[in-house]
Amino acid sequence: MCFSFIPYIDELTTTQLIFFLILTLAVAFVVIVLTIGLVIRKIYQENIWKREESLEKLYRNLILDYLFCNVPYEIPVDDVPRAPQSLQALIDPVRMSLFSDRTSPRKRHYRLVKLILLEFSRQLLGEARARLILLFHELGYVAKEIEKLKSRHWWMRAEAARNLALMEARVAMRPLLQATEDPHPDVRAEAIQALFDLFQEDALPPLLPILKDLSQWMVIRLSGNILRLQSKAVPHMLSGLATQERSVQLLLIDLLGEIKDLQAYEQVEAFTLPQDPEVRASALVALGKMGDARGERHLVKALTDSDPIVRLGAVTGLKHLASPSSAAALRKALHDDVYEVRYSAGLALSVCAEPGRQALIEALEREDSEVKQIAEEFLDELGYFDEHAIA
Amino acid sequence: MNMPLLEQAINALVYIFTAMFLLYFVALNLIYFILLIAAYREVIRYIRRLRYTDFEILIHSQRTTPVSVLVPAFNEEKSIVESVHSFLKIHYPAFEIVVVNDGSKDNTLETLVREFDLRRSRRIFRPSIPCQAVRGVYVSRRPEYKNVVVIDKENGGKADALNAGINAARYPLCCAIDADSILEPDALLKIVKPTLEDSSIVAIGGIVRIANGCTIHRGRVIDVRTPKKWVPVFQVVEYLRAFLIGRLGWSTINSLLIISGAFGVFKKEQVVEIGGFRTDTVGEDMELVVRLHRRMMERKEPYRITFIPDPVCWTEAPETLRTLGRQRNRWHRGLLETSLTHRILFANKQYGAVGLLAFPYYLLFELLGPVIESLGYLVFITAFFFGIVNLQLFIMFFIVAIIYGMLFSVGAVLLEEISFQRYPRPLDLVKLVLFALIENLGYRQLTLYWRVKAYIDYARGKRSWGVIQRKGFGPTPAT
Repeated sequence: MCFSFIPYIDELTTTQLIFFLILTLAVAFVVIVLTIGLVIRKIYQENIWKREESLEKLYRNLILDYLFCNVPYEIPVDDVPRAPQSLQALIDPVRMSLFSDRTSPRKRHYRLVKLILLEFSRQLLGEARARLILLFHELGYVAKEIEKLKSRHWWMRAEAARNLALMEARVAMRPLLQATEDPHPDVRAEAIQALFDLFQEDALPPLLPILKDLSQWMVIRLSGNILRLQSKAVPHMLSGLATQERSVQLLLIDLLGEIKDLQAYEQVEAFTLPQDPEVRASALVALGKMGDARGERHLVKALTDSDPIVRLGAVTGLKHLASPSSAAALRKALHDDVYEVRYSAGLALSVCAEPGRQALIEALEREDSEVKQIAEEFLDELGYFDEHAIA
Repeated sequence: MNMPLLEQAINALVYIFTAMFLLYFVALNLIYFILLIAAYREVIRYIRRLRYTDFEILIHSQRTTPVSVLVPAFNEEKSIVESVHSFLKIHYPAFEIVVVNDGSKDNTLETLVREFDLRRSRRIFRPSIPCQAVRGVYVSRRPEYKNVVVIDKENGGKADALNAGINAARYPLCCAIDADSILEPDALLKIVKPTLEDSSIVAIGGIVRIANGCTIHRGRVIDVRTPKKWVPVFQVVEYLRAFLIGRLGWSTINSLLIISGAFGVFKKEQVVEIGGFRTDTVGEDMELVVRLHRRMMERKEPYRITFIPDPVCWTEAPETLRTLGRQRNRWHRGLLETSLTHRILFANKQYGAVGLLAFPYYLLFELLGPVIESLGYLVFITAFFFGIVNLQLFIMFFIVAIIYGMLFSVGAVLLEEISFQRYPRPLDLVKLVLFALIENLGYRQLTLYWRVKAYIDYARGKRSWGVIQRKGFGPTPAT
C-alpha cells in the first residue's frame, strides 16, 4: 500500500495515522451524537412532567376514589389481605386502565401507579392505609417486589426491599431475612430497615446472628432502629448479650447504655468484671449513661485499673453520670499516666456541679503546669475567669 | 562532518522522535480512555448507591464520626466571613470549624473577632506535629458559634497552618478546606459516609467546582451557572476533566495521588503519624497523599485513599490569565517537587498499582507532558527548517491530537451531564461543550507555557506561592 501524497514517511506509520484519523472521526461522531442527544434530553426533561401530568391525574383520582369511598373495610389480621367484593368494584377501574385488555400491565402506567401508591404509603394511616396495602397486593406489586429481591442487579434488590417495607408486605419476612445476608451492603441495610419497619422489636431476634463485625455505617442504621424501639428492644438485647461475639457484645452494651432502661443494669454491670478491656470500658460507659447511682462504685473503682482503656471508660462513664460525689476520685485521675484519661477527667469534673468546679480550682492553684492547663481550659469554659475578672 | 551525513543523522533523529512521540500519544490517549470508562462506571455506581443512603440517619446519630473542619486563612478578610458562615450551615451532627489565621497582614483576625464575637480562650494547644508559634486561641461568646475556633499563629504557609489546625483539632477526622471555598450543606455527610462503611479509608477527596458565575446567597450556591468570563469557563471544563475523569478513575484502583487542598478529609491519626503536611513544598496536598500511600504500603497495612464525585466544594477560580498562570505554575512546581521527593515509587512493584501505574503516569504524562509536547513543536520547527518535514502528515497528526483532546474534554462535560447535571440550563451545557471543543486551540498551549515556565522557576529556586488575588463571595446580608 502506497500513499503517494506522503512521500517521506514509511508506510506503516502512515497507515497507523490514517487508521487513527478514521477512528478519531468515528469516536468524534459518536460524541457529537451523544452531545446532541443529551441536549435534547435536557430540553425534554424540562417538559416531561407536563406529559405525565394528565395520566397521573387519571390514576390519582381513581385511587383516591378507592381509598376514601364509603364502603366499610376492616383492617385484616392476615399477612395477605383479600379484597371484599364491595371493594373489588373500586379496584377494577384501576386494574382495567392498567391492563387495557392485555395479560400484562402497560409498563409506563404500572410504574406511575406504583409511584403514586408509594407516595401515599408515606402519608396515610389507619383504614385508608389498610386499603392501600390491599391495593399493593391486589395489583400484584407485592409479588413483583418479592420476585425482584432475586434480581441479579443489587440496586433492584435494594429497591425491592425498600418498597416491600412501604407496602407493609409482612408476607415477605423470609425473603427479607435472606436479603440480610446479601453480598451488597445496601441490600443488607435496606432489608434490615424493612424488617424493623415491618416487625418492630420482633425483627431483632432473627437479626442478632448478623450483628457481628458490622461496619460503622450499618451500626448507625441499626442503632437508629433499636433506639427508636427503646425499652421494647431491651429483653431481646439482653438475650443477645449471651453471645461470645465481642463486636456484638460491644454494640448491645453501648445501645443498652443509651436506652437507659434499668432492667438491663445488672447484666451490663456483669461486664465490668475483669475480661476483655474494651468490653469492660464499654460497660463502664454504659453504666454511666444509665445514670443509676449504683454504677458510681464500679466507675470509681475502675479509675485505678491497670488498663488505660478501662480507666478512660470509667472517666467517660463518670462524665455521663455527672455525680458530684465522684469529684474527689476524678481529681486524682487528673494525675493519670495517660493524657487522654487526664483530659477526660477534667471534662468530667466540669460537669460535676460545684464539687467538680472546686476540684478544678484547687488543681489550678496547686498543680504542675499540665494539670493546671487542663483545669484552666475547663474553668474557662465554665466562665470562671470572666467572673474572676469582674470580681 | 559532511552535509549528507548530518542530514541522515537529523533524519534518523526525527524518525526516532516521531516514533516515540506517536507511542507516547497512543499511550496517553489509551490511559485517558481507560480512565474515562472507569470513571463512568464509578459515577453510575455512586449515583445508584446514593439512592439508598439516608443522610438523615447520619445527622441524628451520635455514632457519626465527628469532624474538624480546618480552614487555613492568609489575607482572607474579603471572603473569610462568608466562608465560615457557609461552613456553619453544614448539615452534620458534630463538627468544629478551626480557622487558622496564618499571620495575615490584613484584618482577617479582626474581621473574625468582630463577626463571631470571639474572645481569647485558654483552650489547650498541644502540638503533636511541629508548626509555627501560636499567638492565641479564640472561641466565640455566642452559643450559635460554639463550634468555631480561631487559631492565631505566626506566618508559616498553608501547610504549616494546616498542621496547626490538625494540632488544635479535637475530632478524629480532619477536613481541609480553602478559606475562599463554599461547602454544600450535605458535603461533609457525603464525604464522611465512605469512611463509615470502610474503616480502612485514610483519606478521601471530594469534587471542587467553580463558583464564578453562580449566585451565592448567605454562604450557599443557590443558582448554578457557567462563568461569564472566558478564563473561568475553560477552568470549569478542566476541573470536570481532572476530577470526574482523572481522580475518580485513579481512585477505582486505589491509586489516587492527589486530594485537592481545597476539599479533602483525612484521618487525623494517620496524618499525625507521618508528621503532617510538609512545609517545604508548594504542592503539600499531593505530597501528603503520596506519603500516606508510601507509609501504608511500607507497613503492609490494608488501606484506601479514595475520591467521591459528588460532595461539592465551590471555589473561586482566577479570572485573569496572569493569576491563572501563577496558579498553574505553582501546581506544576508542586508536582515536580513531589515527583522528585518520592521518585523511589517510580516503577517500583513494592508500591503496587501506585508504583507501577499511577506514579509513572503522573511523572511521564502530567509532569513531563508539557516538556514532551513543547519538544514536539520544537522538532517540527527544526525539521521544517531542514525541509524534512512532511507538512501533510504533521497537519493530520495535529488534527488527530486536537480531536482527541476535544473528545476527552467533551467526555468530561458529558459525564457531568449524564450524572450530576449541576448546570440545569441547556444553554450552559452547550457553552461547556463549545469551550471543551475550543480549549485545545490556544488555551491548552497557554497552560503548556505556564507549566514549562514552572521548570525554569523551580531551577531558579522559586519556592513561593505567588500572590493570588481574590474578589471574594461578597458580604453576608444581615439577618
